[in-house]
Amino acid sequence: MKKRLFILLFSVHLLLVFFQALWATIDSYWIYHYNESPYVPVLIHLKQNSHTELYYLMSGINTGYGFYGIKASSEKYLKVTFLDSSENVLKSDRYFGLSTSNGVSRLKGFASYLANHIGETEKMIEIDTSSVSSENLQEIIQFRKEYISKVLKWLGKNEASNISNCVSYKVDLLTIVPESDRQFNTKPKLYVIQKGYFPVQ
Amino acid sequence: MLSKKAIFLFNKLDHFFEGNRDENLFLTFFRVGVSLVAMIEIASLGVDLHLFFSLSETLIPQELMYLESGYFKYFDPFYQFLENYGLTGYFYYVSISAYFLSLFFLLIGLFTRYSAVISLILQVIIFRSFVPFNYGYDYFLTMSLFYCVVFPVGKYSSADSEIFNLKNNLYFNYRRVLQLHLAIAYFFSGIAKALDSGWWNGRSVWNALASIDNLFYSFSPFILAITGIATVFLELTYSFWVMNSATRKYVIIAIVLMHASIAITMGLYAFSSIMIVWNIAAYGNLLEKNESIYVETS
Repeated sequence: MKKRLFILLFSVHLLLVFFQALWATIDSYWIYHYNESPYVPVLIHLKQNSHTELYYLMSGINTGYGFYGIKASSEKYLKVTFLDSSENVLKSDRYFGLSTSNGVSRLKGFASYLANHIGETEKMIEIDTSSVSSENLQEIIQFRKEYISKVLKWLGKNEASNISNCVSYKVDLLTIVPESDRQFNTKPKLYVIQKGYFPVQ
Repeated sequence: MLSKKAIFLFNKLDHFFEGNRDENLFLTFFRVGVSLVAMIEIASLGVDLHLFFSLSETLIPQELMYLESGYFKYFDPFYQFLENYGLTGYFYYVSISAYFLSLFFLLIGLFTRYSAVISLILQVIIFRSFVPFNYGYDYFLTMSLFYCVVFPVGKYSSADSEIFNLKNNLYFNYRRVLQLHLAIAYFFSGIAKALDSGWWNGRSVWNALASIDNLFYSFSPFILAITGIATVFLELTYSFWVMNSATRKYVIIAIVLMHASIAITMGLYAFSSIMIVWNIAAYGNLLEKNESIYVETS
C-alpha cells in the first residue's frame, strides 16, 4: 500500500516537473520572439497556479531549466560613484561592500534581474503607446519605474551617508556590449542601461 | 478497457520503481552531498550574508527584495507577524544559526526527517527573502532538501540508524525519481539552448563567459562555436545516453566536466557542486566500489 502511494505521489511530482519545464521553455521562447506569453489550453492548467503554487514553492520546482538558455545575456554590473559639492568623484565602487566571490556572483545576478526588469517595462511601454491600454497597465508601468528608481537609490544610500563631503551619488546599471558588436580580441566595452542620481539626505 | 489500461500502466510504474540493491548508498550519498554543499555555500557567503538577509543592513530594504516575487503573499504576513511581536531582529539572528545546525543534523543523520523539514523551511525563508539575488543553485538546493524530506535519507549510515535501530528494508527505488528529474532538466535546458541561434555560433557562450574581470572574451569564435554546439548536444541527448549502461559512464564524465568548467569560468561553484552531487547520486556507479571493497576484504 505504501509503495502504491509513493508511486502515485512521485508520478504526479515528476509530471509537474515535466509540465513546468515544458511551460517555462515555451513561455520564454514566445516572450522572446513574440513579446507575449502563449495561451496553451491544457498546459495553462498544469503549470504553476493558485492551487499548486505552495507545492511548487516548497519543492523548488517553480523554476525553468533553460540555464543560460534562450538568449543568454551578457554580464551586467552595478556601479556607485560618490560625489562632492563640486561633482568631483570621491570614491567609486562596483561591489557595494561585498567581499566574497559568492556575494559578488549574486550581485551580478541581481544586476541581470534589474536589466531584465527594465527591458520588460520598456516592452510594456511599447504596448502602452501602440494601443489603447488600460489604466491598470499604466499603473503597473509607473510602479515598475519607481521600483527601479528606489532600488538604485537604496543601493548607495547607506555608504554615501558615511562618506564625509559626499553630497550626492550616482548608481549606474551597466552591461557588456553584445558579442555581435565587438571587435575580436579586444576588451569588451560597457554601456549604461539605467542611471540614477541622488542627493545625500 | 480503461481500467485494464490503468492497471497495465500502474504495473509498469511498479516495475520501474522496484527497489534497487544500491539504494542505501544512493540515499546516504545524497544526504551527505546535499547537506555538505549547503553548509559550505552558506559559510562561503559568511561576512556578506548580512547584506542580503538582516534587519537593517541589507543592500536594499528586505521587503523590496521580495516585493515583486510570488513569495510576497507568504512573506509579508510572516514578517508582519514578527514585527508585531518584536521578534524580527531575533529571527534574523536565530534563523541562520538554526539553518546551519539543522544542516549539520542532516549531515550526520540525527533526527533526519525533522532536520530536513527545518532545513527546507528555513532555506526557503532565508534565501527567497532576497530572491532577486538567487540563481539556479538556490532552486536546486530547495529541490534537494525537499527530496531529503520525502526520501528516507536517514535510514542508512546515520546517527538515527545507530540510535533507533531502523529496519533496512526498502521497496521503492527513490533513485529513479532523481534520475527522471535530471533527465527532464537537461532535456529542456538543451531544447532552450537549441532554439537560440547564439548557441550554434558561439555568441551565447561568449555572452555567458565574457567579463571585464577576466580574459575569456578573447577566446576564438571557432572555440566558442564548438563549445556551444557541444553543450547543446550534451544536454539535449543526455537523457538518451545516460539510460544506456554502455554510454552512461562517458556522459556522466562529460557532464561533470561541463559543470566543473562552469565553476571555473563563471565562478558558480555552488551551482556546479550541487549539479555534480545530483549526477553522481542519480547515475554514478555507487555499488561497484562497495563490491570491490567486499572482494578485497573477503
